[in-house]
Amino acid sequence: MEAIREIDIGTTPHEVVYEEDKLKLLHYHPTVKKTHPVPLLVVYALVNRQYMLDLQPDRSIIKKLLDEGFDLYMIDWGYPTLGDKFLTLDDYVNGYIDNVVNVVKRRSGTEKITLMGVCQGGTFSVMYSALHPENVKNLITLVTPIDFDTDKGLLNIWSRNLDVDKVVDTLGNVPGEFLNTMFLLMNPVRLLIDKYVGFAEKMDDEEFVKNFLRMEKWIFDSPDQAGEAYRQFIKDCYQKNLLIKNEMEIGGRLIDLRKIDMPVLNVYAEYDHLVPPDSSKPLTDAISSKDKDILAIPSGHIGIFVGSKSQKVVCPEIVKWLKPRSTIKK
Amino acid sequence: MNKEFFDQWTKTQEETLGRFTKDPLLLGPTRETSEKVLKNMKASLKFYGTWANFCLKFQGPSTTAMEELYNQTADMMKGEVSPGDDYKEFYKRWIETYEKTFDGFLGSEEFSADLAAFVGDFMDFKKGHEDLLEDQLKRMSIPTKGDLDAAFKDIYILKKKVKDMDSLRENVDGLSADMVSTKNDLQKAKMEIAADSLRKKVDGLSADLVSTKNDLQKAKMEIAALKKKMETPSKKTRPSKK
Repeated sequence: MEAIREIDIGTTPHEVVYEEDKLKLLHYHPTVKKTHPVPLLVVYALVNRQYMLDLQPDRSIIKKLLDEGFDLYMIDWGYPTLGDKFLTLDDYVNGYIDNVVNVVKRRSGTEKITLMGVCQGGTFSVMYSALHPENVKNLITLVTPIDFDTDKGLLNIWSRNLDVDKVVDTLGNVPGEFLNTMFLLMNPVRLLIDKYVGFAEKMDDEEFVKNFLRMEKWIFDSPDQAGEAYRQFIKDCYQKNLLIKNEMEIGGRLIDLRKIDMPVLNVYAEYDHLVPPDSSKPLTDAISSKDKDILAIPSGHIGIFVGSKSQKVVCPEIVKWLKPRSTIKK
Repeated sequence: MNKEFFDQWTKTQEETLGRFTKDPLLLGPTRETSEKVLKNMKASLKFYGTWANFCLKFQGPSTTAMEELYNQTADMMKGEVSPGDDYKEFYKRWIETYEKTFDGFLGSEEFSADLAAFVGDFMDFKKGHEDLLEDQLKRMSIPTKGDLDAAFKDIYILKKKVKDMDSLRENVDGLSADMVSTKNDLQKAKMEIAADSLRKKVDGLSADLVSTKNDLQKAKMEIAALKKKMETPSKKTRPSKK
């Protein structure tokens, strides 16, 4: 273990092609000569960091998508500071995401792009696709909460009684540590004891230790949440469940999921304790797309991205679905 | 600490220190600050009470899990004991028993309400504490969180305005480009129309010219014919001198 001085994460080569406030748009260097015509934009959650998809070189979803010929972009939301506490969901969806989509469109010379949203980033992508369907060729959602009225997830149960106004009015931005404490509280015995016992038992295995440390870094690398956006997300989604009812508004515009008519792939994890399947599955019935598929992966919320078994399924299935839909009709 | 003791402790706090926090007879120049201090004291007492209650609630499932594990361990200890294997088995059962017991506890509506109360009371306590601190900072002319918030809000609004204006400018730029293009098209069309009109005029003039030329030609021919005719009868009508 002493030999490990530093761990490498998010190593797939990329460049920053657009910046706005704290946001950076990463463009990954293609690994094939000719990429598919429709570019792919990954929208990650505001909670934790986007390099989960590129955590270790041999289990990188980003690298796999590049090797399959996709022209790949990903949003890095950065770390909100005190000055960002007034940012709303409207700023994130109709501001940042819309600006980034336009940059990607301009750079690739296409009229539409593919959106791939992860977790809360998936919820944002769904909101965006409902409000700006003219810009979205395909939509892929990964472990994305849409219907929040379920007793299967502790976050859903705990958020119901939370006085979010008091939290945001007092804290401004909601600290990453606050959310981390909640996540740890979901399974304290496993996450605070068993995990580290397991680590102690395998400390001689350098690769295991490296991967463990990478994951540990990701888990505790938690940006604060912009206060106003957090307030509306908890109130309108977790407490009032407005999104699935087509009653949620951002920036004065109603989000009607029936406006989503492009091809949609909805991927969920069967043993997800953060976003239970009951929360993800209803999207497929709520939209008006004719071309839509749903894919269940036998893993948990995080395992879907880094688990060795799911790695062999998730990416190949996405690629199989997306490739034929990434062409432009002339 | 059992529930009865905790309830009694809370009651005693309310009846002793808590009485000060309800005093409405605060007077004089320090009235506002004193009121805040008392309010914060009340929030502190409430928070510590909720915190203790919250921690106390964890004792229930802990005891249940411990009892369950104790029974299981007793079964394990029967017969021959193998320290290495039995330790692993014990650890496995310990984790599983606690996990299962806590799953039910953490997923209950009661825990959700307790957690919300704990977070809410902590926010009240924190806010009260910060308000007092801000008052002190203001007296020293040091910018406070409230001052920063006001500045940040102004910056947020200004940034939004700038972004809206940028977007508007882009649209106007796009419209201007369209207008220049349309103007050029219009100019071209005008020139084409003018050229067409001119061509038509020239065509008309040419036709007139041809017609005039023909008329002239005809007139010339008629004149020539007339001349000839005039010359011929003068010879015929000359009288004879015989």
